[in-house]
Amino acid sequence: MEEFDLNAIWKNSDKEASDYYHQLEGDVMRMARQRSSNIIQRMKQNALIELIAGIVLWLGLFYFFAENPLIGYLLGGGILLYLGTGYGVYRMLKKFRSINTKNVKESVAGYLQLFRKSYQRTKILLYIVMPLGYTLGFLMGFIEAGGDWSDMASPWKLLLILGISAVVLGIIMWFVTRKYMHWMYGQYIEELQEVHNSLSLEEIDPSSTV
Amino acid sequence: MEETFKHIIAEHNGILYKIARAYASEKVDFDDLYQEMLIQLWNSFARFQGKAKISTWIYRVALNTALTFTKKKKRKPQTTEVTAWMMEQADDGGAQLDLEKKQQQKIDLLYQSINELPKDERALILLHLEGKSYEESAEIMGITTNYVGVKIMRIKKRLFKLLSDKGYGRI
Repeated sequence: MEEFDLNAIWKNSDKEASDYYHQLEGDVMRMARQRSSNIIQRMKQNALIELIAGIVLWLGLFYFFAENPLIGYLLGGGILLYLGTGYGVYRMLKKFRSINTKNVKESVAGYLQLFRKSYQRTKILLYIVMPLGYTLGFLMGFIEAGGDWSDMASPWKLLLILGISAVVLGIIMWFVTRKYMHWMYGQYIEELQEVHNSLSLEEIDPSSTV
Repeated sequence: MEETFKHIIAEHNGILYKIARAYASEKVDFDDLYQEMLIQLWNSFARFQGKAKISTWIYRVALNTALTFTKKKKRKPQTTEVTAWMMEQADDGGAQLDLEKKQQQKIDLLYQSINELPKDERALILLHLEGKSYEESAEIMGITTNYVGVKIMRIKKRLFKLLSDKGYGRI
């Protein structure tokens, strides 16, 4: 089997390519203007949905719990969190706007960095920020329901209730988020890591080029 | 700007088609990937400053899009759905000559085999078959020309093995 054969066969597929193109020639611009369905676009959409849902939730909380003494902490903390993570996400996505025009190895490394950062950010939000929010929410509910601190007998009882609930919630969240994060980033990270390793083999193993 | 873009795509349509066939094994994925490449090219067209050759820019954007493209449906083992569809198109009422059919079969076998290679190897063999020099392939891939040469040699061996396993010699 000669190399010449492969090149000739490859050249023959030009006709297929041009036939396919001619079928959609009139639609090229309409197709090019469609919304992208790639991972970066999905991340942008998710960030936007989270932002809108967060604002709606805030307004709802403020409306129903305006008198609660802890509402200020919740709203203040929430605003700080939004500004911090929102700005971070904006900066990160802006940095990767032109990632796909770089060479393949640089682009793959960039995507990997982006997905890993997003993975870490999601983990921090879920495992640190969520339990804090849960605790604050519990206390707000307790006050709202007219709960008396003395009913708790001791702060240890309160801590125990909070602790057990947090562990149960944590386990449920752990399973759910593992699935979500794998769906969102896992498969990309695995596949792109393989590509990056293969393209970097020369750097880590000079003997492989001989 | 639109006219320039359309003109560029018309002139380089083969690149998109071949990359989409090398990275998608089902017709629905092939169409999606082809469109996604068009979207990404259009989105980055305004930022293209002409520092690289047009074809280098197209290869980079299209290959990077293909590498981060995943199927919408649950992953299935590689099928020859695109191939079957392409053959249907080519069959056109059974009027095609035997020679042309054989040629078509060879093209399909080649794509099927390329489809079974790892993702980075598909990109490299595609560039090689397109007649790109080692220097240009290295610029697109971001590796040294030396490494391009080494990898092409290995990939060709693997590709020949895949082709002979599929009965290429018997066509």
